[in-house]
Amino acid sequence: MRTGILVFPGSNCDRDVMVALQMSTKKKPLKIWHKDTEIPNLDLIVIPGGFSFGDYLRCGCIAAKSPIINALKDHSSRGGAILGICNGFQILIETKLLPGALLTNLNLKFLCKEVSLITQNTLNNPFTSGLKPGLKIKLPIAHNEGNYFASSELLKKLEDNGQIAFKYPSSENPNGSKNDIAAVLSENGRVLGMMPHPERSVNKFHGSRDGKMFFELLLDKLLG
Amino acid sequence: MNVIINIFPKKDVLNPEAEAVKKSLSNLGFDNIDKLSLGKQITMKINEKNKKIVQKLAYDMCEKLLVNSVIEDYKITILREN
Repeated sequence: MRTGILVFPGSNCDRDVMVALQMSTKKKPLKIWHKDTEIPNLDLIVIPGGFSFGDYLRCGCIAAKSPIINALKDHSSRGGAILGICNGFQILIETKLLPGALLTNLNLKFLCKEVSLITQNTLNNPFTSGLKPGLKIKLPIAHNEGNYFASSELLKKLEDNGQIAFKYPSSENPNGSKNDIAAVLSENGRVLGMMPHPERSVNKFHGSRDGKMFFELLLDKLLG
Repeated sequence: MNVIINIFPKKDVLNPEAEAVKKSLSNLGFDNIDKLSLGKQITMKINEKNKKIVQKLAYDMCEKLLVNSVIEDYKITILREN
């Protein structure tokens, strides 16, 4: 199992992701700098959270034009798995590897708290296929722009195709996301973007350890 | 040539910042505002004299980086040099 982590100026969850992946794979993930132009053959690439390029212009948009992105797209077209967490989700949206947009939170507040997530019935994918639809897990969020937006046609398509991986319970939608969406899959199920942080929920000091379960099931699926 | 690019959220996209500004203006007594939009303005000087080329360059910049067409509209204005 070979994993890699993309690092941009302003990424700040790369070390946490490294710890979480190493815990599950027993192997050190490869760190990939944004100015690199090649990525070796990897089973999984994670784009971590943070404030890449200071969130200038739009969150993730400058990172999405970095030299490494062409290699990321090549990895994706080979069917490689990609996980974007928080700012990583915003970057995947700006690269168009995932559909929709992420707007400022409805209440204009930076949100930093644990939230409940309901696993959805999805198309076959390595990220959540190991979790039962309807299963509730708890993970932390920490973002200012996590308000998922898509046109009503796109929302219907995402729902019909099973491209929504996690939803917030509708009574606890923290940021105003359309249809309470917290995580979105690509059409082929090989790319997942999620606002919650599984890497911040991997040991007993974190409170919830649902992130550890998430990574272990993901790596199990990837190993097939 | 000098170029002004105005970027605004699309009509059907919720803009919580604009709502907050409108509410604050209302608190100051400016309560007859019907619609308030909050966007970005980018200005630049492009070293090129042909207006058509400038228009095309500004358009390409918007499509490739400056604007997210899922949520934003934009207007390019090219100013005559004095």
